[in-house]
Amino acid sequence: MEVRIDTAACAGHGVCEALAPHIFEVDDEGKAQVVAQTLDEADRVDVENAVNQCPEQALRLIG
Amino acid sequence: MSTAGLVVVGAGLAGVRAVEGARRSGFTGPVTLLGTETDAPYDRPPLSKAFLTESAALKYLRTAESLRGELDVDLRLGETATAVDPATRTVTVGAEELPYAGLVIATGSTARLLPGMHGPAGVHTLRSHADALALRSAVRPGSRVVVIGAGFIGSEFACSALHVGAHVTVLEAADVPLVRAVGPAMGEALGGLRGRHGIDVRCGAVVEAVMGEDTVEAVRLADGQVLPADVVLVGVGAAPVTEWLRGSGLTIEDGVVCDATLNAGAPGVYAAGDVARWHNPTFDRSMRLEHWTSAAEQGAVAGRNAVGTGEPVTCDVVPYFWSDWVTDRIQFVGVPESDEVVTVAGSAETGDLLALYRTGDRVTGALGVNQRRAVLRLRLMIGQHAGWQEAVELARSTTVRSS
Repeated sequence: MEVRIDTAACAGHGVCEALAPHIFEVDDEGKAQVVAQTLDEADRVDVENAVNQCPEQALRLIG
Repeated sequence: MSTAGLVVVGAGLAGVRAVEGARRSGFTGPVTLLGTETDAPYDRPPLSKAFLTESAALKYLRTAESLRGELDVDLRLGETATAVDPATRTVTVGAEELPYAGLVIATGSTARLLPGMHGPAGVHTLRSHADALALRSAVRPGSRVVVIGAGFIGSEFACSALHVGAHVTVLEAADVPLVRAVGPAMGEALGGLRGRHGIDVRCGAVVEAVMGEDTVEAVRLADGQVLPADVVLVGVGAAPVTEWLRGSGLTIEDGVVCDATLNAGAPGVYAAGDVARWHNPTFDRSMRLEHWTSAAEQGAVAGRNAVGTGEPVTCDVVPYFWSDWVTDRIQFVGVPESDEVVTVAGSAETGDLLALYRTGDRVTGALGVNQRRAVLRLRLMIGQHAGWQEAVELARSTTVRSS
């Protein structure tokens, strides 16, 4: 399982971070980053929520 | 006869999230999504920005194929519900009485109009795809544009029109703009930001008439001034679409009145998005929001609760909205009413403002201009009922300065 962030599309709303602060963080440039070292099945629901709720549709879940 | 399942009225963001929320909670019964517009569900925020300035394509929230195929939704576009009967659990659509087990009301809001001012061509509102298309073709380099209302829609549109090369004047009846959204002190501060973008904003300007027979020619103010205009945008707020619920027995008070789970007071009936006035547990009070993120969050909760696959969950929201003025991103989290507003860093003029709103010893709001990281941390803190001092410290350590 992997999350890809389209940094051109990301506008730094931080909705992903609000939903899953252990996985995502908005950096000083106002772009989301994945801060979790690894993602496992337990994270799937959180990641899916973030992907679905991203206002800019900048997140994609692969695998 | 078909089995009654979930019916979602309104195919905007809240409606789509309701459908997704229902499916995600494990609901496998029939789902019907009704939308008055003929477009597949689309995203509204870009309509006042990139859609106008870059001729960007309409951004779909989900395509019709995805809704029908992946989510097994009976998507009915161009169809408007006209009544609800909670006793028989039916929604009236044309001549049909559509049965429901669960209902989500997500009819959104509509642009408020100024009485007597929408006659001539060239007077617009901005809410739908059709509105944005009309504006996109009306605003040209050199167009004389008058925006009535210095709220967020008016401000974003003004920035976009300026970007396209139009001459733009913004009229605001109040002495300070954006008071309802961010409070008086910060409304004043954001006025300074507008100056930075070269937009002519006139506060205390009361519009008396829109002049022109077939086509708009000018806007006349109460003080007698006449501003020539080719395009007029009326941006004076939005009203929840609840007229169709008259006679349903549901309580309507500037929105459909709901409890903390978004239940509208009848079995299986929930509301979400701009149309919902609900008890927000995070602030322990009733509120109605017109924000993208709350529509998304409420939609997901309402959809899940309406199909009743589990115990109803409450909808806890820290309000959040953003507005893009050319390259500046304004973000607000929490609620604007407070005991005190403290500027922690920067200023609006320099494009790096961060202000915190205190209520008692808690942080209850934050406004940032290009302070994305700090604002989002503060949103989490507000949701956790964090103390004031802790928030000030966090804010000081995470702000960025404009260079």
